[in-house]
Amino acid sequence: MKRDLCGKLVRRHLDPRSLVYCALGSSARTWRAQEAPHVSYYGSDPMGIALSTALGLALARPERPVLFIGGDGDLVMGLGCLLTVVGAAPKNLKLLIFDNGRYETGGGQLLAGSGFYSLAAIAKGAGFPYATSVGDSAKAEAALIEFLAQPGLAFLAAGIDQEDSPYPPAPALAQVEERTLFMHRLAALKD
Amino acid sequence: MNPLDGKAKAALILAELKAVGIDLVATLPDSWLTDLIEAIDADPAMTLIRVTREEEAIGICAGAFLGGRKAAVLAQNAGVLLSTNALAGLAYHHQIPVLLLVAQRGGAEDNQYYQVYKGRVTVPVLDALRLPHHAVTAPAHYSLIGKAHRQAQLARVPVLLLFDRLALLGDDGASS
Repeated sequence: MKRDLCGKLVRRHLDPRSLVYCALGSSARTWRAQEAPHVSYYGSDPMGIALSTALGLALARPERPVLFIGGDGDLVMGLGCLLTVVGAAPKNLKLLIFDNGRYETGGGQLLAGSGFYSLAAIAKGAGFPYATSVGDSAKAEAALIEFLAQPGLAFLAAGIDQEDSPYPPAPALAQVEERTLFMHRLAALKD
Repeated sequence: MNPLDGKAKAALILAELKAVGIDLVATLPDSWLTDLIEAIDADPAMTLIRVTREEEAIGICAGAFLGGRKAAVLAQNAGVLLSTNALAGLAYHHQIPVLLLVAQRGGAEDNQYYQVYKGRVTVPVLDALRLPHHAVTAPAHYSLIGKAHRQAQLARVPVLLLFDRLALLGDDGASS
């Protein structure tokens, strides 16, 4: 499926109470482009610790669902974190991975093992109670609805088409300013 | 007066963590940290998260800070060396405070070749990163936990406490 379709489907079906933690790269830019109302943090660098940071957020805010949106390149930089997440067992965390075997922002270079592994199988083997994948656009909405409806920890590898996603210009806000805004928005949530 | 054993020291360290409101600890073990990890794990008021690589522990604490929960990392100094990119990214890019309690292996009291390099390079690496760090060499220094936590919060950077053997265990390693 196209990246943008995945982003649109998430926006359509994600619980409005959900927090969103994005890793860096094209997956994050896809979510930002949806201009969704969900309180969202765009983690940027350091690459490889986005999932653990999302886990920390989920542990800090157990009363809210947390959706982690990340790319496969970032995830495989710290695959062991899947074990950490399973061990921590946060009931409010779900992982949506943009899966196309390439470092899209960096120029489309292949990931190690690209074409051989299954991220969903890896997550299932790590102990995720729910882990699956979807790449067919026609099946994506149903798969996403099922994924988001899971009562606890869940993993969805979204098969994303290869589409160039070059480095954009630097945004207006520096990371620390993004961080401050996120924390203000989080603190202002009422329910 | 009998010297404190490792379990007694662990209890004192845990009390300092709880005194500043830290109730989440992410750790990758070191043998010197065993008593402290067990004390945290046994305390129902604490959440202990086991990680597979130390930079995950740093990420967990960063995410906890974003969500308003106080957390700390517990690891060996090899994990600090591994995590320099994560530490620098939090310090200079996100400006997120993290408190790290670190077993400072490789000092004079260590007895293995493979630990020595860690003791030699950890402090110079932290200095190169311009991250605050403090040596903890005795129970009298445990109050540094609260002070380092406050320093991290005020400076919005990771701050590291480097515990030597006697600060964690009941003996100085002379017989081991």
